[in-house]
Amino acid sequence: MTSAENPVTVLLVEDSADDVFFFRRAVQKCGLSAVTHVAGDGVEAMDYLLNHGRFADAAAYPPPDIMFLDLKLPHVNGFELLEWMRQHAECPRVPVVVLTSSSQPEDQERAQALGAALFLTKPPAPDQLREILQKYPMARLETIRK
Amino acid sequence: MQQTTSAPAKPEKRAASIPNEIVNILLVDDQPGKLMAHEAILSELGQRIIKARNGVEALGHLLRYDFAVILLDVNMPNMDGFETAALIRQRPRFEKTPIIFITGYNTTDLDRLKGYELGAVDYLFLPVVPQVLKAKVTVFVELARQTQIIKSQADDLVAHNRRQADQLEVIQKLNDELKDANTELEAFSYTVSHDLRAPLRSISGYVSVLMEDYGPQLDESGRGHLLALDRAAKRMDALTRDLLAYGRVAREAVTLERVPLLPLLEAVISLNGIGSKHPAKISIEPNLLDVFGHQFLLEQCLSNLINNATKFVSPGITPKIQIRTEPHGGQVRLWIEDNGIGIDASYHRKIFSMFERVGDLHKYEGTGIGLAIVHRAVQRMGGACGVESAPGEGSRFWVDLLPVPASAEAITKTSQ
Repeated sequence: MTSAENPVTVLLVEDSADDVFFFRRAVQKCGLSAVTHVAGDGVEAMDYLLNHGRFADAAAYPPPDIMFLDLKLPHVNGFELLEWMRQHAECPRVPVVVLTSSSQPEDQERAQALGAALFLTKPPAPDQLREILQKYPMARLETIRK
Repeated sequence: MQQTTSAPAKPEKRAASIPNEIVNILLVDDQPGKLMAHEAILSELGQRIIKARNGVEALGHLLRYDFAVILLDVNMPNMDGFETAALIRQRPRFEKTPIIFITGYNTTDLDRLKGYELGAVDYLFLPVVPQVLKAKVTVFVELARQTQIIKSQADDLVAHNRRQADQLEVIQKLNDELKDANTELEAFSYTVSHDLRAPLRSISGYVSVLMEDYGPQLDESGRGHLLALDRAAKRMDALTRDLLAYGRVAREAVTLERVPLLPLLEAVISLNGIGSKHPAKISIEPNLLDVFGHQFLLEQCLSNLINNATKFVSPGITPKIQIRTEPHGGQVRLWIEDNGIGIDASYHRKIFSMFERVGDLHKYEGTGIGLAIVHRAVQRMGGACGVESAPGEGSRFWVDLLPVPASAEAITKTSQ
């Protein structure tokens, strides 16, 4: 359920400032209430998910409802982050949408095997984001209720 | 001062296998007269003859030379022929050197047996008959020569094998280097596709942002510039993508397999948004022939040919594309026919080269790489391609591909 009082918490893992800008703009235009937190690489994403380092304030950085992940990242890349999330039970469960720049079928297969739910070609269009933000966080709530 | 030295041509080193190489013959006898007589008979053979007056002298020569044959007098004082032979045989190097004993008629069978035990290969009885002596020695001279030839050939063979092993090593090394280069190229392509295209995407992204947020404040010309900027960025993106595809088509490892064309065509059509994003009428003949090709290369062919067919049409005309196959000279000919603008005959070959765009095609979007990709991909699958066309009459592109071989047919059938 998304409303102004209960916005969707989005974690965007992306190192390109341009792509962060386009993403935020698309979120803004999609007409839903969402708060986007940005992690610049895989290590920052781990910090966010575990409330470490600059993301230590659990109230300001709540577990994300959905994560958008670029695969090519410095330090720890997208694949490595997915692998890490699978291996760490303390990591909150979150649906992952992989952001791709090119349609490399090998990459898609690999990310899917590692638990990515969906692929989105960059830059995402506002209506694509709306659909995903409406659908996937709900799916997560359902899995938690079970 | 400049000095020019011309290195002499390096002679090809080959072990001598000259058939008339001279071999050594050892004559051992205590009587100088007999030695001289035998030497005179054997000198006709043209070989080197070495004489020894007793067993000790004979052993001395044996240490220095190899002999084709030893003629050994049995009846000598101090060390007789048998004793000498026994000593010769003790040395592994002379184990196999043929020995002919020369003996009188009074030799008993027992003596002869002893001689054979000591490794004699033959006997000559005194007085020696020149023809018999010559004939028997000739046999061993020839044998020694043949052995020498075989040995030198064996040496040659060993040397040749070593050279071949060296060459193999060089090839292996080159192969490894090539593999490394290929892996590097693969990584490079990936980086190009990601890093080079990302800024282009950003340019297009910011153009959209400008258009949306500031478009109304710009005049017609300002908006036109923005659109031109976007077109340029998109064109460069398409060029990058096509160059990468061309590179991959050129170096992809090709294993041919049976490929049914219909599912591939359907995938290509839906992937390119033909019929949805780009309006077109496509009719595919039922029962297309299977081909013996490579999935990725075929996909590249079909995608470029079909995209061209939807692209190069006169304004306001809905592209109509017909796809069919027919057996053609032992191959499968795939036809992709359109109702497009057509191509002048003078360009029918040129268009398959890189960056060759013809006539007023600049009015249409395209990178000039698409047909080069088709040409390369078809080549790599052992096929050919071409076009029949005239301006205003549409184009009929054909691709000849290998048919599924009977053996592959059988395998597929039994595995189904």
